[in-house]
Amino acid sequence: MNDMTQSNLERALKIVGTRPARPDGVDKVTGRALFGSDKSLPNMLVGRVLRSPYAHAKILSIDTSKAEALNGVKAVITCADFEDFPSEFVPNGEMVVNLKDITRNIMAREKALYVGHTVAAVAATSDDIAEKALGLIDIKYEVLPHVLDVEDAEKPDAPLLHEDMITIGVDPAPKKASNVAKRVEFGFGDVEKGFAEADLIVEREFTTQQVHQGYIEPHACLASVSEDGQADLWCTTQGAFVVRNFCSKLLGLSAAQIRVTASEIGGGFGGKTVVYLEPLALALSRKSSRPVKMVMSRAEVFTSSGPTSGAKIWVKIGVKNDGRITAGDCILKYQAGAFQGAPVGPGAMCAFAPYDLENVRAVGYDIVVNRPKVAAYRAPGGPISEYGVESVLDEIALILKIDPIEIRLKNAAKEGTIAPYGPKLGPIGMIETLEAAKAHPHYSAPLGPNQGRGVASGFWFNIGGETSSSITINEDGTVGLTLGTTDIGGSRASMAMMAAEELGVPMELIKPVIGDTNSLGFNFLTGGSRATFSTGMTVVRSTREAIEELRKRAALLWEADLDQVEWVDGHARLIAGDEPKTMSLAQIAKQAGKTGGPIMANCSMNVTGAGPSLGTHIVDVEVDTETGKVSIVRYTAIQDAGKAIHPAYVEGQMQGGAVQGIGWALNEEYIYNDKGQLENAGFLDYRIPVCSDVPMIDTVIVEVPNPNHPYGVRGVGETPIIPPLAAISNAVSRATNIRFNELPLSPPKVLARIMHG
Amino acid sequence: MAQLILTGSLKNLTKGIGEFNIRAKNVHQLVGELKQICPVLAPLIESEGFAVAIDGEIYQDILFAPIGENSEVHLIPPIGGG
Repeated sequence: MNDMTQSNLERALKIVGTRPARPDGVDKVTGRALFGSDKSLPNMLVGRVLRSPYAHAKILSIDTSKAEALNGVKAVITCADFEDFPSEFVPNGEMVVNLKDITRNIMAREKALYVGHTVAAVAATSDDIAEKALGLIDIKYEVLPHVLDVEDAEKPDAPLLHEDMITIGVDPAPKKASNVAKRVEFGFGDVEKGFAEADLIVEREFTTQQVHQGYIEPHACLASVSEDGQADLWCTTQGAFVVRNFCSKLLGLSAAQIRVTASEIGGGFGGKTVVYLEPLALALSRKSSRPVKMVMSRAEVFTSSGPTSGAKIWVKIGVKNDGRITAGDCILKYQAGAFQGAPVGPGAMCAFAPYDLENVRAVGYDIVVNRPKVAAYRAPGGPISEYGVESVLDEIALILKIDPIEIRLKNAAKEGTIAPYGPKLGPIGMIETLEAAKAHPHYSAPLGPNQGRGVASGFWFNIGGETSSSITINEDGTVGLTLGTTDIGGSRASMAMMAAEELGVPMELIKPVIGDTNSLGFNFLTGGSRATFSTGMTVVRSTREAIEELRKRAALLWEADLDQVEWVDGHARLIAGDEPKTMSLAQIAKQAGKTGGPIMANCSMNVTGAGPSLGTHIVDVEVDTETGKVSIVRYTAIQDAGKAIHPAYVEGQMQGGAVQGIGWALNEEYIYNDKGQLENAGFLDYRIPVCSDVPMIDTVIVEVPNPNHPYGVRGVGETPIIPPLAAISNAVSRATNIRFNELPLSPPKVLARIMHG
Repeated sequence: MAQLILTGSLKNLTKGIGEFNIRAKNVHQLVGELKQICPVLAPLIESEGFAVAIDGEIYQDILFAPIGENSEVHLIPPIGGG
């Protein structure tokens, strides 16, 4: 901990921790805010995509000549318009990616690997012409058998998606290709010895279904490539710099040739961290020399953008009679979709992370299937693995007649606990969230008939990463902040608040904007609950640098030494001489030109020191035993935020994560037919929660400060989606006295268990 | 001397050896040293990317993160998020 950090954790705060109006609020409620599809340019073309109708098929030939000849069609592209890449992992900004897979996901090459896989795209002067052109593209396929389920995909005779895929992480390496891309293992101790010491062992299998992030705004972009190869791209994304790097590699352009501007974003939740339409629009624009706009339909969002994995998991936990865990073991099999990269690694790392165990093992398998390639979704991998662990722990508590919060307290991770993935944890708030849950009136409230109460906890790491921002002191004393991380959850407000707190001026004087990729150094995307933590770190540092310059200018004007000038409440104050003198930020800014020029400061850093966030949720459900419908009666989310810069936004993140978890637990699932076609690619049939499905989600913010951040921030966006799956399943199990091990707990599935056990 | 501690998949790759004494003073030197003392790990780190936890603090892609005289170092996969 450095002095700068320490002073902020100890001092009284005036702005941080309050609830001012959001800087982007008026634009959003009046419709002025520009989202991904709102940008237009003169002579703009419409881009449309032709997608595979088959779940698995060889592409024998593609004839685009009739489409190209259609009046109004300006460009048609296929895989021939993109460079091919060898199979290797290469650095791409902060990520390591396999360009062979990415170029095949944005445009199928030898095979179509899922229904909805892009096989060609057109740009035309109207939507109708583009639609007609798609119908004129002649593609000859050889349809192959497909596989959708991880356990079917593992079988020796399963259809192979990639004939060259040899499982990584197995020693000796297999000689034959399979659909298992990777095996990972985490843990320590001796789990067999731990189970031998146990008084009770419970092991169970669980199934979760593939679910989508369900962001309201579809993927959308507008690309304009000039004749000299300079490209402008506007798009809805969680990471403009990451989009730039992906597109530059896929299109053979330099980073300097592409400027990416992120629009306002209508939800991302991890789903807007990769590229789909962007490289297509750039390629079509380059080919046609016209701007090209592309917008996915809702059905395309479901069939062709990345949801998260469905999974099969096995969990085994041994305990002493007093509830102390002696060993924990799990096997996780996650769907990757058509290309490797399921979030099974973080899933395995998180599975037992809320607990302090001596013997623990988590094994994960990344398995390809004929579904869209998965993308990140809030705490990628964590909700699935922790659902299994938290469910088994609840069953153990029931058998041993121990309160579910008490059994968690007996085993809770704390500072110094060795995490299942190796390192010792720093200060964390697991015990504090459990204590807050236990003390909450919800936990002792009476339950009605057919009601049950469930509890579950969750862990997410949180991350830092490459981040840049800048601050400008304007001539009139107002302040501009340029930020490089997309604002998906209120980060502009939080940044303005931290800058205002540092400067000692009202937040209204600070104007935060999100810059394009030419305005700042590289910023990793907004994800992993990193924006308020990482960008906040750079904002505090650059603001302190600006304050240093303001003090210098005041010292010049007073003809004093710098150490005779201090900064207090938005003013320079001369502390030498008989008469106290002060000069406001606005007075110094007004004379900036005469005292050395404009005042601004930048900060770029690879931020470290993220602190994990833990949460505990309590839910009451009521089960209609005649229909199987589960209603959420009461819900309380408790989470360690480190420090809530803007508590209303933190509560919003906790509520949003809880509601998405409720959807995952109760209704959401991809339903495929026997041809591998998605049968519910729309919000009428893919059932996300609506307002009438959920009560007001009560929240309790616990603050165990992260000592590595000037204000103690941890990050909050990921953790709240983890506990709902198990909390709801546990509540339904307790309401019905039937143990449920499959999600979603939709009415037909619950009713079937009530009827048939 | 600082210690590199391996668990799970990485320990499997080193045939069950879970602890190595290391002289590296930073991550950059650690990558070089791994090529000597544990060559099976070096290509994995270079190809897929790994984060390093030094005394519990996680560093992703930071070559000059310092490793202390008695530090405990873990290799872990890089962590992302949604």
